Amino acid sequence: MNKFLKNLISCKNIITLLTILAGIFCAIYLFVHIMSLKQKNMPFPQPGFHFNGFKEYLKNVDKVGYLTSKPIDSVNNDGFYLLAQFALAPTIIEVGNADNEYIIIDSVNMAFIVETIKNNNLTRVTNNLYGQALYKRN
Amino acid sequence: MIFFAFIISFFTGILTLNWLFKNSQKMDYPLRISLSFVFGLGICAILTFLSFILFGKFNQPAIIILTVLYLALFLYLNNNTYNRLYPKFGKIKFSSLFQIACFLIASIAIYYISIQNRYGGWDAWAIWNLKMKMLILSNQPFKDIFERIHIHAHPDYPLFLPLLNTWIYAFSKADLNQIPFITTNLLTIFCPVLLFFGLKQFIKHNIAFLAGALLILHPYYVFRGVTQYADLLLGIYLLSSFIYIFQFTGGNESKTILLAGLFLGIMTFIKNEGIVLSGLLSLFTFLFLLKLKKPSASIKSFLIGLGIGLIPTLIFKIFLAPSNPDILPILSEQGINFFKPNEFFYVISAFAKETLRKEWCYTWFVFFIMFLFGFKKYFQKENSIGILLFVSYLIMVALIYTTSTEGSLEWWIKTSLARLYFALLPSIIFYCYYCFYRE
Repeated sequence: MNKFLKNLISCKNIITLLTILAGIFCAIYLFVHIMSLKQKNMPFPQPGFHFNGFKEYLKNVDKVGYLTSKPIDSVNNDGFYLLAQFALAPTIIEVGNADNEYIIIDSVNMAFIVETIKNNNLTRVTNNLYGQALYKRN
Repeated sequence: MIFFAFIISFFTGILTLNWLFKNSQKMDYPLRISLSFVFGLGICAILTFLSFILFGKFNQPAIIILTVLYLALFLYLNNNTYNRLYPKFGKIKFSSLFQIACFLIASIAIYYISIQNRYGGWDAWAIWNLKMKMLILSNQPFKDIFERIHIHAHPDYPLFLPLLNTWIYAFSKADLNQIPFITTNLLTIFCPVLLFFGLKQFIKHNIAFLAGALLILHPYYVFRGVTQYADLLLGIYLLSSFIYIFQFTGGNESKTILLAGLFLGIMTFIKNEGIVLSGLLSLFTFLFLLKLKKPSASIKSFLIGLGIGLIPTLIFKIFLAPSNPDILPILSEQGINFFKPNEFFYVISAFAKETLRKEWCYTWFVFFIMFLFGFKKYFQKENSIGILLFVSYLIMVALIYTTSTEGSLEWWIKTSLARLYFALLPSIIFYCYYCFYRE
């Protein structure tokens, strides 16, 4: 009996039991997560879908300027600029470069938008519902 | 068609390994198949890289011709050894059917979670998938990736994953968003299977299954796995290298250690972290080989494998990629003065805190208790390679964190520490169960 008990509570059996318990805990956690996902039923939009409407005007365009009044830094994941780059690739998006033929203005600040259009002599090509518009130099 | 591409990739791997080992490899058939799959992914990424070097941009016929030529060459070289390719099934036990059923159910769960994250995490689309798009769609992909896209896409990062997805595109012409999604799903399901087959070679079948099940059910592994990051691939290559190294210690077969070197070399082509991991693991394996009675043949094989595997990374790093903007310039300009000891200890404490996060489901405790119970086993002979690797890697990471300028230390830890743990997780499970349960 003593030998049986000794074998039963050997280090290997304890670890095997711990592994089984950890596996069960993980399975429950995973199950709860799946159920919560099912309940939320969240949509999964494509990154940069906001810029899909710009694609048809930018076929074979090498680079586009990106002017914004919003903060662009790594803490804010560089805002919409990175989304624009992903959606519009292989066209290169250049932040702050107003010299290109095409320019995206990303702003809700009317004064900034009007001044940028005036200074760069731009005409609006198209816009989306999220505060970005594509402009072409006259 | 994407699955068809994976089958071709698998054949490139199995034909190469079959030719290398001929009749000498003492390895279970399922493990051989699994490692062939991993190796095939590397070959395909490297062939695609070669096509880009030759033609400067995406060239579908070139990629297909290079792959067909490679397959034809190895079909010819394998002329007399096809019998080793056929599966050898023993009597199927009920327990095996139960285990297959468990993995299938877990795979469905992984698929369900992945479709909620169809386009991957931030790093996936902003770095890896963006580079894949550039490789396929741009007329000057290298210039665009290395010089023109934003710095946050890490232009200096090796291109294994984007090249692999590009290779799949060349064979499938599938939707560009669909390819990384399927690749990630397959690899997330595959890694625990590889862990299971790898462990089964050394320890009891049922314990190996428990370890594999722990990984495939691990919530954090699944959440991270389906984000389409390159860390999963890194984890798979590290695990494969471990399997080959420990397989070598069981039989002292020089071809096995050659493959360990080859996998370690290819691993550097996945991520910069892979270069650090590969460097450290190669160093400790080399030191272990030096202790052998007749080390010269093994060391020679290891270095040949490592050298061949390193070729794509050397070409990439020397002739193509810009230097890392975060670490090397800082060290060369400001030297060690930039290093702050108090921050170093802050990072070390962050390492400990990370293990307590609830997403990890306290599994680190299980590994820690295993380590305490089997303390001596972890330092015996070849086993010490693992503990040396994990400790020295974390010290290296802490040094990199404390000598880097981009972002604050908190930001670095918050954005990357969990990913580092994730890449190590399959190998840590393999290593812990190998050391603890191996008689």
